[in-house]
Amino acid sequence: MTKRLLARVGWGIVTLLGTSVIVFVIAHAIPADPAVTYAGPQADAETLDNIRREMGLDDPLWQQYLRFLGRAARGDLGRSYVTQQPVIDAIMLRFPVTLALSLGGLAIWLAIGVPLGVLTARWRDKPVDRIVLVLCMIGISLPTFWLGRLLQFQLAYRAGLFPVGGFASWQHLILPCVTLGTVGAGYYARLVHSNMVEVMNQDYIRAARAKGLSETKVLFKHALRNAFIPLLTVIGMDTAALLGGVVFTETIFALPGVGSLALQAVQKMDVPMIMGTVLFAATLVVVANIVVDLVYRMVDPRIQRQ
Amino acid sequence: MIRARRGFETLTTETVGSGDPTYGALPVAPGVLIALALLGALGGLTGCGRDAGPSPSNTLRLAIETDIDSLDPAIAYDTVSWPMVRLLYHGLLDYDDGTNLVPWLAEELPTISEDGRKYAFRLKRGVKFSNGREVTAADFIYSLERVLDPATLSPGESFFRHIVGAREFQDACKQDGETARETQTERERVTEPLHVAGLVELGSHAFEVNIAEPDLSFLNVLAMTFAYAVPREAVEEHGEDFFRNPVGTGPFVLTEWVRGMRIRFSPNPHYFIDGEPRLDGVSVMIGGDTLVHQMMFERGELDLKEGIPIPDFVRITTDPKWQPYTATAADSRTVYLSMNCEMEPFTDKRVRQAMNYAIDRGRIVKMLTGRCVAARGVLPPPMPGHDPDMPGYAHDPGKAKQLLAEAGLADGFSLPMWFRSDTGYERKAAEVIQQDLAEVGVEVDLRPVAFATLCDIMAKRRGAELGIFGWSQDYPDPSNFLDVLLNGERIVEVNCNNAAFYSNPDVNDLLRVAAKETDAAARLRIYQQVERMIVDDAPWVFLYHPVRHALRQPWLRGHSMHPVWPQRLEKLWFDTEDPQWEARP
Repeated sequence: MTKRLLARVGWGIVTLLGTSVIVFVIAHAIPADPAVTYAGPQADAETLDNIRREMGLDDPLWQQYLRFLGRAARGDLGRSYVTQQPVIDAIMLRFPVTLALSLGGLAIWLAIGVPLGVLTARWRDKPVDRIVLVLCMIGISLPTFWLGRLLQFQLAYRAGLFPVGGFASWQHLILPCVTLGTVGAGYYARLVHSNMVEVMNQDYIRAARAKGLSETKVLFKHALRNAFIPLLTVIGMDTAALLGGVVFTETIFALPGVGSLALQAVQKMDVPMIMGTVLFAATLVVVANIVVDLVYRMVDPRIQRQ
Repeated sequence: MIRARRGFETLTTETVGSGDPTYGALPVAPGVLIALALLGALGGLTGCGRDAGPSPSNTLRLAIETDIDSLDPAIAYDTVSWPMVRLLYHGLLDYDDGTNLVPWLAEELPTISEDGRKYAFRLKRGVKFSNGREVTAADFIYSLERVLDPATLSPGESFFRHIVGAREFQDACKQDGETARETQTERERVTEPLHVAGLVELGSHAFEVNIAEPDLSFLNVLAMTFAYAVPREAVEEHGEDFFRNPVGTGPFVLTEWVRGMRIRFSPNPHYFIDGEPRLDGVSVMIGGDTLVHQMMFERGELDLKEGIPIPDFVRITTDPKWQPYTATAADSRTVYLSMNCEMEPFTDKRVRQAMNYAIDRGRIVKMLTGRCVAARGVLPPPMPGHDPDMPGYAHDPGKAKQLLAEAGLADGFSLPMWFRSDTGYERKAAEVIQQDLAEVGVEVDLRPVAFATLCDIMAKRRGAELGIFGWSQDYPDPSNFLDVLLNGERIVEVNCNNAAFYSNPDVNDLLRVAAKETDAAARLRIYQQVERMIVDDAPWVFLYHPVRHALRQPWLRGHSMHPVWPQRLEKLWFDTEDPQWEARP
């Protein structure tokens, strides 16, 4: 087990190194002078030369990369070219917002998706299944930016039930979480549905019914608990992807999260911030992979035995 | 593996085999786990800089789309930062409601020597920094030297390079920096000269600035935010974090800056004008686009909003509710289609003129719903020296075809056209240009790119033939456009402000004469002559000058559009007697 864990961690580090090289190369392949990013387009050539020299931007790229890597190994992702803020500080300052938004969205996915999935599996091919299927497809098809703007316009701007945007209290998270949750709930409902349908055909479900258990117990105690195991992987990876930054939702609702930070970094070609946010997201995915792997073994000992 | 993609928000799903009844138990219900984590996250948020109580009702509420870069006057170099820098700092000179210079921390306008090279300033007495110490002449000298020091990385240092001794001072600073780097020690100022020779202290509240050549625009340079006074002790105490620990002479002090979230200012207890500021504070929300800000403004959650989003423009400007509170002013900015005069086919003046005749500026103005005025030359309307009688180029596709035929390009040509992708203005203009040029046989391939990329491509010698660029004034003087953007003697290989790489020896000579002319009226006449020569040479297609709009709430007073500063927040106050004040959320 320990050996396997170490191997996973090792591959995780290799993945992160690979990611850092790719992002560094792409960020520097795009023609954009970091000195101009810092000083603005109206600074003259001599000023820009001075800035390049002072910031070490005239060093060869491989030297700049190694310098970045050395600092990153010590937890220092450098300073933003634009704001001069330490990149790690910027990310950690915004991470709680993204965390709250992601977990809120995830809670809605599960709170709506799981019961709907169970319901439609129980009454498979019945009218309720068809209706829910159509609703799920609508939910999955709704673009986040459209639904978000619609909710914002109708419920915040027109009805005044929620804040329009920004972040000052938990009320500011309601509409963004609903936006995120609505789109994902349909997806999870279909996922739970297909897993449940598969489980419901198993012999142990027939055995449970033959023992005279109520349908609720069969569904929720026996079927759902087993159908949920494959979902762990999906939840783990989705959570990691969300925590890396929920770009559209954060941008629409003016939430200061990691996603909007990454978007601004790309718009301004702020290379250290781009590197930092991408590596942060990649680290989350790598860690989630390892955690899911471990949890999966805990809840399904058959894998351990294999 | 099933992968559902929604833009940047990606869901990854994987279906694997079903479980066994014996091994299916989750240790804790997932809902409980998520609820606990959510509570934890929200708990964490309370610790990330939020105020304990609500904002005072007399606090000005604003919103900006992205965080400002710096609150250090030596660094801040954008129109979003400037209004906030001015809340914290003051300079020697400022502008009246127009473009006339008036004394600010200076007792009066400086005495200028006969040869126009020596500026003697006397400072007001009793002006204090927010740390309680009185401002002296040494503070201004230090502030200017700090801007010139390469270690400060000030983007504005070039404006002050022609102070006598500035170059020598910078070279000495660089030498100290190199020594520190080689010996891996802390940077220390030891190499002579330790100070800029042209900055001479004449007493505790008097000093003089000597410049190498007479330059009438130098007073405008001294009115830029780069020249605002900072106290040495605060800079040395905070080092490179001075930008977020500002200490100045302005009406406000910084009380909170949560990067990417909000900025708050409160009154400076040491402010030198009694009864000012009249606001209890200024609160700036960071984030959200202009559509969000517009909704917030209309719900009364913001007191002032700069700009009106494209989808709301006609509705707002025709709504009687908002018309009295909508301010409009021409922007000191020119947007142009730059043609690289060193690259084919734009080496031929006839081709450049044909491009000017081919494009219908009126249609661009219409497409931008009147949020700009058509340009007929280089200088924008608020700029001193702007020539309202400039003939410019009328839309005349026939003439354009004729000129192209004379240049041997009767069959037209095709080129990529670069423009910034992050504003709706340039995209709409680019589409009109593409259609108009197609009518005369010129095919352009639209290339929208990030602004940083556009700067890199366009400002590099032989980097691109054609691209939409814009320039906003640093200060209201025609030299800031004509000399900076179109003087052939300023052409460099990279990061060249002369993006058209245009050089006309006659223009260059006249620009040199104008720069040294000490008679203001004669100087403006030379610049007008230069502008006409440039328009005839047509290194640009002169497109448009944007028009600025601002919306204010009925209770906000003291607001007006200024030709130099984007906003003068320090002048704003609330009329609590206004009938709508009570309804303010």
